[in-house]
Amino acid sequence: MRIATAWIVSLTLLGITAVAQSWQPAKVVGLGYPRSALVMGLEGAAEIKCYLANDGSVARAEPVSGDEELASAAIRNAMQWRFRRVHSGNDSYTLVYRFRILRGSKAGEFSGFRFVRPGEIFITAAQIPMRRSPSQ
Amino acid sequence: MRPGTFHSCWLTIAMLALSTAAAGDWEPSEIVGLTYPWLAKSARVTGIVVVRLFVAPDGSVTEAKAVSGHPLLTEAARKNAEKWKFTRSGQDPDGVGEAYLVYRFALEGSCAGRDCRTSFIVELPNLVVVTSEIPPIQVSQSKPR
Repeated sequence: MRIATAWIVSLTLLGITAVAQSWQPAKVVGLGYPRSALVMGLEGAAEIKCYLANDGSVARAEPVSGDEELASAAIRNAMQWRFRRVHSGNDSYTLVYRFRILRGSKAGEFSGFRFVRPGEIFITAAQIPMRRSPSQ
Repeated sequence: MRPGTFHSCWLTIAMLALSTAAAGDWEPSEIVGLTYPWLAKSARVTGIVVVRLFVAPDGSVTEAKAVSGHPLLTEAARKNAEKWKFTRSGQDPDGVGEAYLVYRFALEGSCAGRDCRTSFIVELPNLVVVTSEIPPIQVSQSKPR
C-alpha cells in the first residue's frame, strides 16, 4: 500500500514538473536538414537554450551541446520561434534538435520535421545519393 | 478569387479559430512538418484548407476530413493532420474529441529550378502556414518536326 502511494506521489510530481513550464511555444518554425550537414553526413543532437524577452520572442539563443554546424542551424531556427508565458518564473526555454539521416528513403524538406512538446525537435532527411564520376 | 469569397473564407477561419480557442479541449502536442505540394505549386494554387480532426482519448488522430479548400491542397493537409498528436487542454474530461487545423498555403517570390525555398510555420493553437517560392513555368522541350 505504502509503495503504491509512493509511486502515485512520485508520478504525480513528475507530471507536475513536466507541465510546469513558465513558457509554452506559440509559434513553431519548421527546419529542413542543413544542406552542408547532409552532404557531410552529420547527425546528432544539438541542445539550445533560448533566453526569452517579455513579449515571448527569443532574445538570445546559446548552444548547450552538439556539433557546431548543427547547433548553428538550430540557433538560427530557434531565434524565429515565439513563446507565451503560462506561469511566472524562469525566462528560458530549452529546445533539443535531433538530426538523423535516413538511408535509402525519399523525404520532402519538411516532411522530416517533427516537434514534440515540450521541446524536442526531430529533423530527418534522405541521404544524398553519391554521384559516380563519368569515367567510371 | 472574388473579394466576397475571400472575405467569407477569412470569416470562416476566424469563427473556427475562435470556437477552437473557446472550447479549448485539445491542443497539439506533436507537430509534423509539411512541404508545399509540388503539383499545387507548379499550378500556382494557393489558399486555405480547413481540416476537421477526430481525436482519440490518447491524443492520436483517428480521422481527418478536409472541410474546405482546393483539391490540390486538401489531400496533403489531411494526410499531414493525421500525423499530429494532441493533449487535452480543457477541464471537461468528456469534452468532444474534435479539433480543427487551418492550413494557409501561400506562394511568395520566385526561384530557379526545383530548389525553391519553402517555410513551415505553426501559429498555435491551430494555424499552419506553408509558403514556397514560385517555380519557373516548365516549357515543353519537344522539337518541331
